[in-house]
Formats: sequence, structure tokens, C-alpha cells
Amino acid sequence: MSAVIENHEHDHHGPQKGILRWLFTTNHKDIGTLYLWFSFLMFLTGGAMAMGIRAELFEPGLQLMDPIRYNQLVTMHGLIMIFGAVMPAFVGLANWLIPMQIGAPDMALPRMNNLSFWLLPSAFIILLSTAFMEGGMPGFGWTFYAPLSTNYPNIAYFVFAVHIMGISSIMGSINVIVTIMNMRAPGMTLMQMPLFVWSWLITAYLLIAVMPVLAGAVTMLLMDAYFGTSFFDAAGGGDPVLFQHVFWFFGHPEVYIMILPAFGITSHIISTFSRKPLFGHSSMVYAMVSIAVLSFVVWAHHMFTVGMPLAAELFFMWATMIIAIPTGVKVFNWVATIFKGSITYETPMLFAIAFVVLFTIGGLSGLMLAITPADFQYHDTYFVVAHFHYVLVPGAIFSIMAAVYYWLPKWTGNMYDEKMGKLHFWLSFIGVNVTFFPQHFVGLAGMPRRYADYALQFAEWNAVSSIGAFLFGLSQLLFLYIVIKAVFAGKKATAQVWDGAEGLEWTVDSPAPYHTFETPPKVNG
Amino acid sequence: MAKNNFSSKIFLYLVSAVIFMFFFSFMLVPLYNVFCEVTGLNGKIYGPSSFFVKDDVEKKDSREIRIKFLSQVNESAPVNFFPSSNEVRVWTDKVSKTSYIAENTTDKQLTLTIIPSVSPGLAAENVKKIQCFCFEEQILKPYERQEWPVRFYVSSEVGDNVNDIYLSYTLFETDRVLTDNMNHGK
Amino acid sequence: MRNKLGLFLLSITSFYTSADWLDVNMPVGVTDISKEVFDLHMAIFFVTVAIGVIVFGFMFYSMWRYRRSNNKKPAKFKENHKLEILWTVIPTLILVAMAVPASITLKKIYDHEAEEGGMDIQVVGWQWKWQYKYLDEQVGNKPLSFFANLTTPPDQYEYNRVEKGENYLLEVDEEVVVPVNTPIRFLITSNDVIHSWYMSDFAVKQDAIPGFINVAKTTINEPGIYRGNCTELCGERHAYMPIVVRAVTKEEYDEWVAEKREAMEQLAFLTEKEWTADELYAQGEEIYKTRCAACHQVNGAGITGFYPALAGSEVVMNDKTGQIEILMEGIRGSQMQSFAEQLNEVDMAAVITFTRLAWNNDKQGDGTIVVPKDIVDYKKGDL
Repeated sequence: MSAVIENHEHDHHGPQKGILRWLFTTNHKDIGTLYLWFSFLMFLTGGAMAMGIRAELFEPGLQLMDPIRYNQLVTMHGLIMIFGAVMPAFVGLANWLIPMQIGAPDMALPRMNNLSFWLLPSAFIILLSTAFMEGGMPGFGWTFYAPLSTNYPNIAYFVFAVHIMGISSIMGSINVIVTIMNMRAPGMTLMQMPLFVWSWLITAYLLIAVMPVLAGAVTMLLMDAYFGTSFFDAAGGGDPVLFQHVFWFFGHPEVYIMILPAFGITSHIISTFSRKPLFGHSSMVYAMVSIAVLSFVVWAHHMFTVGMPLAAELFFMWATMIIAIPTGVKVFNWVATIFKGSITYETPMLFAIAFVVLFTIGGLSGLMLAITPADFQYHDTYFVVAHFHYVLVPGAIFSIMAAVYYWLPKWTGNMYDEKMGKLHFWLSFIGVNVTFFPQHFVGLAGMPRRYADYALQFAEWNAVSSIGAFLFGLSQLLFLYIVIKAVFAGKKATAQVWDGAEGLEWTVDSPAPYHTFETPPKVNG
Repeated sequence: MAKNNFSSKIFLYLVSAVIFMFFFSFMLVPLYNVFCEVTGLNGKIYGPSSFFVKDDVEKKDSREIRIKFLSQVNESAPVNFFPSSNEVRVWTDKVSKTSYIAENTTDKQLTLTIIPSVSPGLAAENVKKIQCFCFEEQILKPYERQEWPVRFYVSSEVGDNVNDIYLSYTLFETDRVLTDNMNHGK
Repeated sequence: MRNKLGLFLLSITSFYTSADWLDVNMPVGVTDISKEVFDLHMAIFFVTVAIGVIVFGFMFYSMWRYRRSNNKKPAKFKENHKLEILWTVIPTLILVAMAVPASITLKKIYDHEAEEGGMDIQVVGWQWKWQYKYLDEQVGNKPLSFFANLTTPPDQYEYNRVEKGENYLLEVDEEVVVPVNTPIRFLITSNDVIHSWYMSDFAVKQDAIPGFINVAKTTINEPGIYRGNCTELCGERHAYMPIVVRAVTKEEYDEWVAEKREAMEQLAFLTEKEWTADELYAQGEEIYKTRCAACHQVNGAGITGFYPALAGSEVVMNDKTGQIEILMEGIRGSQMQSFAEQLNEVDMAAVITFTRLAWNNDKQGDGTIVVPKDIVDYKKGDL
């Protein structure tokens, strides 16, 4: 993606030509590009599955597929979106931006960086290959609770794929931490680091802490399924609820892993387009740290109905409510950044604003879910589906789109088509709300999750939701077109690109040279 | 570039940590057992209680608690499994006896594991079983009917707000064997 | 094709005729707890709406007032410690205020103690139906027990062949009949994988976990019919195992229990009587549709790779004893459960006879039928 502009300070070979360049690259920009394209491909794949799901749910009854196939789509949609779209996109952004933002020439461990990327397509080939096997793809939900999952066909492939993805994430996180701790330009203290870098420093620690736990959960599952152990089987003295504890100990920090980089991105974009410094820079850092620490002690709020003792339920309710506070602080700080700014509404800003509003709506429904007695009504209904899609789609995904629009001119040297960008935004914004807002209603009315078919009283809002989904899905093809076009054509971008943009990445040319900051820049307090 | 920034001390330390973690995962098995026994989480009960083998010991502060017995068969195993009595009122620290009936409805020999569960979970550590068919595997010959006794007591340490305890047993089939020279008993 | 178009248009116009789309909130329910839960829900909902209105209101105002064309010079302030402390402390106080009533209600929900005049019902989740055992109503040496299977016919849910009934996917062949104003403890567990028993009108939801018992206690204040669902993914037919609870007066409940006992006594008589093949076939066909067709399909063809075909099956055509054995014992390690607890001798004989005579199995096989006495003999080991 980046043009091959030679930096004449050093004696370099340029990047190799053709496919070998992409196979063997150790350049953080190339690897960032690989991650981003992989993530886009997975986003479209997972999105196609979502289209299948919403098409089936358009009406009550089974029109298109049997429930086995439906459960497979639901499962794979979740796995692909989480592990194939959202996480790799954030890693791609980390690769592109962290070295430039801290004034480093590349990541600390470039060859490991390459391996971290190439493990991902391998893992997904293994996972998706189950579609062609007897027994089919996994159909036990992305949360794969035992004992439903222990007796499912083809779980070995699923487990293997998850292990490989985990190794990729762990190695990537080690890379991020080592880079940030060791390769900042002289004069750049930790508190002076841009917020996106901070968000990734914290996210990397979370990943290292919890990916091994996921690996433990899937390994125990494999043992139970094939080697006669009884971790999750009461017959042998085990407990199905143990699986849930281990899984959600990973699962809850995982959702913060999927949102913290979004917080970092949003801070950058809101500040740039308000032409004002971010309000409360250090509070924003402390808030992210508190969120990360608290994320370790709330996991059982996903398990309020399994029959935990009262004391445990009370603790998890209170801890979950507490997490709302640092998150709220961040929202207030973004609003305070906008206040008395001088604001323009280019596409990145539109996505960032929508992120703040819609993520907050998702967060507020999360607060409702934290109230345990009320959660007995919400749990495993579409209310939960609405909540997490709000924080993930107009949350994480919008922030990724915002980031792409914001930094694309730096990567390609071309401005994207602003009119088309705004069109993509509005179609996505309308699509996302029409899809997910009605899901609050059907959830409250009692429609359970993971249902291929539903009772008649849920029909109308499901139809509305499906139409929204088709709109949202189609609009992403527009996004694909916009991105491809910007790679090859468009108004030439300046180094700073955006009036009000601050940070080291805006001091280098657009497109960014293949190697940047080979001599560290001077950073003054 | 400075040579050998790499410290062999750190390397040794990291390798030992990995080896330790590997063996720690085996240590987790007994550690988990101890943790659950101590906290009684999930209504788990382990092994026979041997502290009080004297019968009918009446202690101070003994009070009456109602115990209800439940049975459940897992994965529709072909066994009729039910308690001989549905509930009993016991005094804490006093040993009581009950039994469960199991009838093999097939012409095959069945090997069974029976897992207990106590509700409320936090009362589990106070339900002390002295003799229980849940301590080991049970075998039922074709069409055989057995009565399995349970001797237990509820310790007076049980929480003041607990007046009802459910003791539930779930029967799991671990093996089903058709053998030719079985006497088809009734 | 015309049918599909018609149904599609029907579904669109029904948008305007049914009031269901106005159902955008949780039910208040019919128990004291469900009303408290509803109140908590509305309280936290209003808190979140208020927060949203204030924050977004201020935000949208700022977005409009400070747009570049209206404000060329941005301010430079970066922080305001007093403000930050304020907007940390105030939300904390709001949350504490919410946590107090929530904790009180949760404590009430967790009070599982038995009460005078209460009753216990053991609820067992199966793939894919619920079983209920009334522990206080003994029949012989076992509690009164029955299974509740979905009765919506496959024609309604598969490919819209037939128009859907009013209680589509929420109707079963056995309702859970309980008396009002009686504390009921549901003791919830599972036969196989994790299910979840959810009744929104009682604000009761507890997971059914194999090997463990979960307790949910409720007292229903108003008579009526209440419908619920399984709310934990349990496999293929997770959406097809609903719950129907009918709350009645104490007298009506006692009548219902007496009827059930009578039916069980009738069973002994029915088992003795002489059954014709036609009678068994007719009864068996109904049972097959509710209990077997979901997997083995209405036409007996099964699903390749998952559920074996019964039409043309060697066992069904030629091995009467083998077929009885499969239904009575199940096939270990497969999805085929033992149906001994789920079907009485008459129903068992009827459904087996139906499969042996349907789909030309009688012409191609030995055409033998199974009568209830055969099942009784099998249980004694005399077959």
C-alpha cells in the first residue's frame, strides 16, 4: 500500500517484488496492510453469514435453512467477526501507527511480527475447512459451552484454530509492549505518548493475561472430548459451570480488548476535528487503566443464571456497575473536547461522533444488564444481542472505519472521495440503528438468543431488523470501493492531511515512506 | 551494537518458570479439590466423613432441619432410580439413614457413577456422609434391583438461615455390557 | 410459489393488524418478585435515558454551536479538575442508589426456603423438551411426572407449508398446572446439556445443568396461561422446547392431579385391552409427529449424517425386538434417547407399530406390529 520511496540515508534494498514481498515482509507498514486487508475480507465473510442469519429471521418459520445450519452460521459469524475482523483490524492499525506515533523505525521484533500475521490466515483456513467436512462447522455458539461442545463433530479443528489465533495475538502483544517500552523517541515519556499508543499498551497486557486462559479452556475441552477427562462432566467429578468461569475469565477482558483501541482512536479523531487538545489527557489514561484492571473481576456477570451463591452475584453486580464510572469519564471528556472547539464534519469525525453516541447507548444497556435481578429477564435474550452489537458494530467497527478514513491518506498518499465517504457513513449509521435498535424490543418482550425460529409476536421487529441488516451489509461494499479507489486515485494528500492533526505520524510525507524515523525525532515535552 | 545483552540468568529463570507452570497444572487437581471442600462451592461433597462414626450423638444447640431427596438419571440411562423416602426431618449432629433404589431395566450389565449435589450450595460442606453409594462405582446386573443406603448427618455449623436442604443424586451410566452367561434375575 | 408470495404479503399486512409490534417492554408479570424486577428495570432504564438525554443533549448542542463556520477560534483548555471530580462522584452516587434496591430484590429472589403450604416441582431439561416431576404428588413410589413436547406441527414451521397457529412455537402437549398463591420451588436440572428454564411472567430464569440442582422459587398471584422458552443453546431444536404453565385455583389444581392419577390407573386397563393395528397406527402417528418427526422427519427419511432413516430401515422392517430395545434403552453415545420414561406402554407400542406399518415398511418387511403387552413383557424380561 505504501509507495516505495527510497530513504537515502541508508543503504537499502527496496521491498521484494510481487507476492514474495507480502510473504516475507518484516516492515510494519506492510504487515499493517496485510492485517487490515485480512480483517476486511473476514468482515465481509462474517457479514455474509450475518446476512444469512437475518434472511432466515426475516419471518417466523424456517424458510432457508434447517436449525443445524443456522446454529453453524451464528457460531461462525461470532468467531469470524471477533477473531477475524475486529481483533486483526486493531492489530493492523497498531502495526501501522505505533512505530510512527512514537518515532520508532519499526516494531521491536519484525520477524515475529510477520509470523503473527501469517498464523491468522492459517488458523482461519483450518476453522473454515470444517464447512467441507462431514459434521460441518461448529454450531455451539462462539462461547462453546460444555457439555454441548464436548460432543460436537470436528471440534479438534476448532480447538486447533483457536490455539493458533491465540499464539498470534500473544506474540503480537509482546511485540507491542516491547516496542512501546523500549523504542520511544528520546524525550517522549509514557504520559506524553499519544492515546492510541496508550490504548494498545494496555490492550497488549490484557491479551497476554487472558489468551492463555482461552487456550486452557479449549485444551480442557479437547481433553474431555478425546482423552477421557472430566473437567466439565459431572459424572467424573467435574462441573459444566467450570467451563463458563474459565471461558468468561478470558471472555470479559476480551471485550475490553476489542474496545480499548477504539477509545484511543476516538480521542485522536475528536481532538483533531475539534481543533482542540483532548480534554483531560491523563484522566483518559487512568480511565483506560482502571477499565482494564476492573475487567478482570467482573466475568461472572455473564453467568448470573447458573446458580452462583448470593454473595458472588452481589459482588459481580457491584463490580460491573463500577466499571461504568471510568467509561463514563471518557465519554464526558470527549464531549468536553468538542465543547468550544471549532468543528468540521469530515467522514472520520462523523464516524467518531457516531461512535461516542452509539457506544454510549450500548454501554447504558450494559448498565441495565448489570442489575442482576433485571438480568434474570434479559439474560440470553435479544436484549443482550442488541447490547453487544451496539458496542461492537457502531462501537468497535465504526471506530475502525473512522481510523481507516482518518489515516488512509497517510498510507496511500491520496484523499479518499469525501462525498462517497459521507454516503457510506449515513447508510451505515441508518443501517446499524434499524438493525439493532428493534432487537432491544424483542429481547425485552422475551425472544431468546440463538433461535432459528420464533413465536409470532416477535415477527414485526425482526422483519425491520433484517431490512436494516441488508442495508448495512450492502453499504460495506461501498466502503470496499472507496478504499480501493483511494489506493490508486484521489486528490494528493499533504503531510499533515487534516487541519488540527497532531502527532509524529503527521510530520512524515503522505504516503509515508517505506522506512520512517530511522533517526529518532526530537521530542520536547 | 553491544554483544550479549542477553542474560543467561534471565533465560534460566524463564525456563524454570515454564517448567514450574507445567507441573503446577498437575498440582491444580488436588488444589481444586481442597478449595471446593473448604468452601463447599457448587454443592460439591467429597468422600466419606469419618470424624463422627458414633451413632445418635445429641449435641448442644442441635436443631431440626428438613432434608428432601431428589433423584435424576443422566442421558436417559435405562435405570429406575429413586429415593426410598422423599424427605426426612433430622436433628443436626445426629446420624440419619436413608436409601435409594436402583432398578436395571435392561438385559445388560450396567456400570454406574452417582454424583451428589446439595442445594443450597453453601450448606454442602455441612452435609457429612459417612456411608454413601456415591463414593464408588456401582454395578447392576441385568434386571437387578438394589437398595443403596446412605448414612449422613448435618453438622450444627450449618448456617442459621438454612432450614431446608435438597440432597440430589444424578446417576450416570459409564458402561453397558451384554454378557452371554448372565443370570436374568428379577 | 404463489403460496409463498401470498404469505409474504400476508406477513406485511399483518404488521398493521396485530398489536404485537407495540410490545416493546418487559412484562410486569404476575408475581410479587416480577413486579419488583419490572420496577428495577424501569428505574435503571429511566436513569440511563436521563444520562443519555443530558450527555447527548449537551453534545449535540456543542456540535451545532461550535461548528467551524460558527466558531473560528477553538478554546485551548485541557482540563478542569473540579469538573472531573464532580462527574466521577455524581455517577458513583447514582450507581450506589441503584445498587441498593437491586441488592434487596436479589436477596429476596435468593430466599429459597420452603414455606407452609408450598410445593416442589423438579424440572428436567432434555434435548429437546422439558420434563416435570411433582415431588409432592406421589403415584406409587414415584412422583407424578410427565414430558411436555412442542405440538406445533412441522408443516407450520418448515418452509411455510401451512399458515401458523396463534400459539406458534409456544404450545405443548402437557401444561404445568399449578395453584395460585402457593409458593412453588422449581428444582431445575438437565438430562444432557445445559438448558435454561425461563418464564418472563414470573421473572424466573435458571440454567438447567446436568448433575446439579438450581432452585427458583415463585408465587403466582393471578390465574392464567403463561408461556416461556428454553434460553440456553442446547443444540438443533433449542427454539422448539417451550414451556406452558397454567395457574389455577387450588380446587382446580386438585382436580387436575386427581385426573392425572386416574389416567395412570386407566393406563393399566388400556395396557390389558385388545388393540387393532389400525388403532395403534392412528395413535402412533400422532405420537410420531410430536416426538420423532423432528429428527426422523415426517416422511421417515431422517437427515443423512445425523438421524437415520426409519423408512426402509432393516431394524424397523424386520427386527421387532431390536426396535423395542432401541426405544427402551436408547443408543448410548448417540442422540437417540431412551424413551422408556417418556412413553407409557400404550404409546410406546403405538409409535413402534406406526413406524413398522408406515412408508411401505409393512410391504417390504415382516409387517409385524407391537402391542402394549409386548412392552410390559419386555420390561419384565420376558420378551
